[in-house]
Amino acid sequence: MDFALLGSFVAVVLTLLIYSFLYKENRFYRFAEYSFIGVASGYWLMVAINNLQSVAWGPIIKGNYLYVIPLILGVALFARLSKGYSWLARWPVAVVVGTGTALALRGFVDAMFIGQIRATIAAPMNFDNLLIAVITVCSLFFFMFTVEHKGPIGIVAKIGRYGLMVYFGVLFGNHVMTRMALLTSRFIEIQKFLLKVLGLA
Amino acid sequence: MEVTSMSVLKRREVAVFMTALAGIAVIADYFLKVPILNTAVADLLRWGVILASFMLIWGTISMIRIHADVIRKKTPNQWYYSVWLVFLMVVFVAVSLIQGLAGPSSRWMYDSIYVASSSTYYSILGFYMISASYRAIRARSGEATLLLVIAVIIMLMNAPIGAAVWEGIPALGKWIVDVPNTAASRGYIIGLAIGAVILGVRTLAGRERGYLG
Amino acid sequence: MAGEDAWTKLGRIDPRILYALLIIVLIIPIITPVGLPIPITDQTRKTYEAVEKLPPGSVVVCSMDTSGAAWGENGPQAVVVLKHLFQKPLKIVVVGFETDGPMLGQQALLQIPKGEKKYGEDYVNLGFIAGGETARAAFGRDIHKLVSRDFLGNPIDKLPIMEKVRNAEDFALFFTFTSLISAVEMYVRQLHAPYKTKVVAAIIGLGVPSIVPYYNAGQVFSILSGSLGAAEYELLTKMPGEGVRLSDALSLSTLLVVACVVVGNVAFLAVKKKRKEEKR
Repeated sequence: MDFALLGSFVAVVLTLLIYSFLYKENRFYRFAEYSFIGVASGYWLMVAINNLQSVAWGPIIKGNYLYVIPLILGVALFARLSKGYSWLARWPVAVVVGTGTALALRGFVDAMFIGQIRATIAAPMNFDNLLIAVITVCSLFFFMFTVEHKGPIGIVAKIGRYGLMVYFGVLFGNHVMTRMALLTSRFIEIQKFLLKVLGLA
Repeated sequence: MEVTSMSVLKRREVAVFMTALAGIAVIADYFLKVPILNTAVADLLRWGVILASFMLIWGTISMIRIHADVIRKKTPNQWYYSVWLVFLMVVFVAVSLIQGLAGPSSRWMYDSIYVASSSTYYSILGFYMISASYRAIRARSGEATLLLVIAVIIMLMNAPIGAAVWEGIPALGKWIVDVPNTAASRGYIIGLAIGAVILGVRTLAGRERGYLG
Repeated sequence: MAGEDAWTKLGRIDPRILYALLIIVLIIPIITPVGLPIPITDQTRKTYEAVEKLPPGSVVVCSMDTSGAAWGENGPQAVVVLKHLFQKPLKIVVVGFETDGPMLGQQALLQIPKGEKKYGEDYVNLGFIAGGETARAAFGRDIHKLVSRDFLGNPIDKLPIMEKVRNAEDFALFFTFTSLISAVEMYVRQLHAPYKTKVVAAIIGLGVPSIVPYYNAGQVFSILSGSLGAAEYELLTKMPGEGVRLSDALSLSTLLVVACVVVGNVAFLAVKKKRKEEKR
């Protein structure tokens, strides 16, 4: 049995079942939807277990028993299932949130705040960079909702608003490209399958 | 009221303290070159990776519980889909345990069911996009007109055929992306950074506790 | 009046007609490729030249931060970049910080000719590492203390390639194939800011406008923009593939969308004008 061809067949059938949603929601679409979620959840479970084996189990086998602590904390997450001990589940979440928040804080200040301001100010003096600086400041003013957008501040915020309209226009234009590319790749998969079946591939 | 050590441990403040301690250690690690602190934070980061795996497992288990409930109650027009879902999940897990995640059978299921379905879901918006382009994207105001005109120029820039429509399209599109788009999204990024820093400080200071549930 | 009805009808066309038009416009260039020219952008050329100039033995990391959903755009990018890297005397590390990463990375690796490169010596797939930004920070800091096995289950301290790869300071180039703007931002924060790693953002088209400020600030080395970026790279490396195949249909479907925007607005403005005149 040609499993590759069978796989292509299954993929094409699921694609068409999902596209049937364009007509209206139906039981075939739901079948495809639940097939996807079933395999997805199995995959996520296995990928998480594999990750644990690599990141946690490996060091413990080598004698680093400190790694038992995150394993215990991780198991504590499942304490949510118990009414009496559900408070234990807060601890692993607290560690993850504390670590992640602080990491992001370090990075946000340096890379996104200072880095972007530096790039705006330190750019060579020409019309384009001056325009970038002006629109950047105006966009920031647009997001200041603690002062009323009237008078000079209103004008500045309006320029910022127009700047953001340009950004959204660029986003939409690129969004179209992405969706069309993804649609085309699905049609190419259908074509590949048909060519295989007809013996033309 | 008698206060036991257990009742103290149950308090949300303990979790808030853990958040603050982890956060302060990671921030201190950024500024200080103290070997014991740097090693401890390096370990803390790896613990975060381990805990994230457990969260993924917990998410899957939560989902199974919901579907198990639907199957148990035999919810009309629903329960047989849940049976199919759980069946596929079990098959994938079994196949992966036997052959490994990189094995041919798990890759087969992953490619023909998961990748095909998820890319189809993502692509279906293309149809709604064409409908929206015709029926919803309207020049109702100055700002909407600007958005529309910019979107058309960028679409023509992205299509290789755009240069054939007008030879100035690629250069104009590039200028729009490099100048006004950069400026506006830079303002957005800086604003986002300010908001994120404030939220982060509030979280580490214990003023934001939504994550504790 | 007949003219009014025509404009109103034109403005309210059944969406299924548009869907059918879109399908036709996508199918035709797939069946009979037109071969429209594809201009090469500076960013793609910069990426290509950076790979060409890498000294032998340099370590290049390819992080699959994408999903099955976006593989239609990230897949052609990953395949052509990996093909190019495998032609050079480089060491290639594939990793994934999103759940779909390792499987898609493995799929990409299976599609490309390996030449004389051996798994474990010249390339490796380290698999998925959970944890988002925490995982990326830990990866940049010390890979050996983070990961003990690769995607296939081999201990990494037994793999010769990993002797040279310890942390972000060993990366000559870092590719992220992603659909997430946040993934690129995380690399800017956790790899570029502390280690000055050269990050190439091979991102879907949708994410490009938000990444350009980082590119212009020098925080992102270069950008490969969606399937078009893949097509350009395929032309530069003289290995036409899925990217080039997609470009014709992309051109025609985009023209259709532009036509819809224009016709829809002409109908809208015509109806608006008629209503104004009627009110007078």
